[in-house]
Amino acid sequence: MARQPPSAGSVDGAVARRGRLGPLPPPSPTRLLCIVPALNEEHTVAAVIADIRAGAVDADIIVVDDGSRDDTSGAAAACGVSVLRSPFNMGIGGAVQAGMICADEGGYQFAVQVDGDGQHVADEIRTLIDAQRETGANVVIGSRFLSGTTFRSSAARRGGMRFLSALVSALARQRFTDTTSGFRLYDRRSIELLSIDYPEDYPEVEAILFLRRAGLSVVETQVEMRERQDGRSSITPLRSVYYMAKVTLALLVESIRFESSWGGKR
Amino acid sequence: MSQYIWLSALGSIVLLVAVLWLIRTRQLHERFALIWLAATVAIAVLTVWPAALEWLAGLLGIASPPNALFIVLGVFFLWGLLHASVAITRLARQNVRLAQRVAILEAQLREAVVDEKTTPEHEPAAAGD
Repeated sequence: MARQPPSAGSVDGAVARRGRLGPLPPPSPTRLLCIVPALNEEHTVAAVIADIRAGAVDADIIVVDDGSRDDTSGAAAACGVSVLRSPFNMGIGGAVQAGMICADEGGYQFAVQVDGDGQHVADEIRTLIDAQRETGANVVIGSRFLSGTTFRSSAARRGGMRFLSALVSALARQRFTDTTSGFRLYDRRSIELLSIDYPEDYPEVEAILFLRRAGLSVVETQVEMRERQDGRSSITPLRSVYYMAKVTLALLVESIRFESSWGGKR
Repeated sequence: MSQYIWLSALGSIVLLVAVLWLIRTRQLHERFALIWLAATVAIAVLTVWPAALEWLAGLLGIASPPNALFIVLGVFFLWGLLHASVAITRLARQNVRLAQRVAILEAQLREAVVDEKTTPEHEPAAAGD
């Protein structure tokens, strides 16, 4: 918080004190912020919000509408949650980071990413929190593949995921089983780091290496996930080979990047 | 004198005029113009001073001096393109930062307007804080 310009701090503070309707609810040492990135999810975002609220976890919710063409932000706002609406599509990394900035400036101790497509099971947030309490890790990733699999997908896609896991595990020198999972719990330290710098190109996969290289501890825990309720994966079979090549390059670059040269402060 | 000399001289003059015009009309930032001016000067020097081009060709082991001119051109092309890619990367990142800020400010503004409406007239919301 110290790096914030004073003017921004005072504005945030003034708004934050006005209650939990605002994007930056009152600072509290235990609060959890659910960051829900959503792109063209007007039909599922309300169900995701209801799902999170129905869970046993006490959390504030912020939906980040990443430049949807449909009424995602309207559908979310109708549920009474905070909504950030990007003027254009920033990409999932930029959207999640916008939520991270709110978590940072709102003084949240934890943030959890719950995708707006309904893929993530809100009940499993508790699983992530328990794993964090148990391990004290900075980041907990909800993995579909840690102990067996309850998640069906095509052989090609599973093969690709397995390849990425092997690559990330080798580069991070730690075993990861589900590198593309966006279902993650972040503690205060990782919130502060990611609100300044968040991998841009293939955020889920790259973030693991980025966080490990920044000296943060990252653990996985087994969770269940649903098939997507609506919409499609951003990774179609046709483009998956191209995706694999690019993400491999990005990972190799990530592993040789100087931490100090990371942008974001310019 | 070979015809390429005239082509090269004409090319460098056109490039120089174009770059200066773009700077004058503020369509090109001086920061980027530097590369193009350097390219123009290098080509012009190597054109009007064939001895320099021959020396460079000899240095690089290139039999035909005009090919050395191509090498010089190629280096400037790559430099300029790389420079542009770096600039685009920075702009894209700044663009996302701005979008994030705009989204957050918009949300705060919406909330401030709601607060304004729910707060009694004689007691401005700002004073209550």
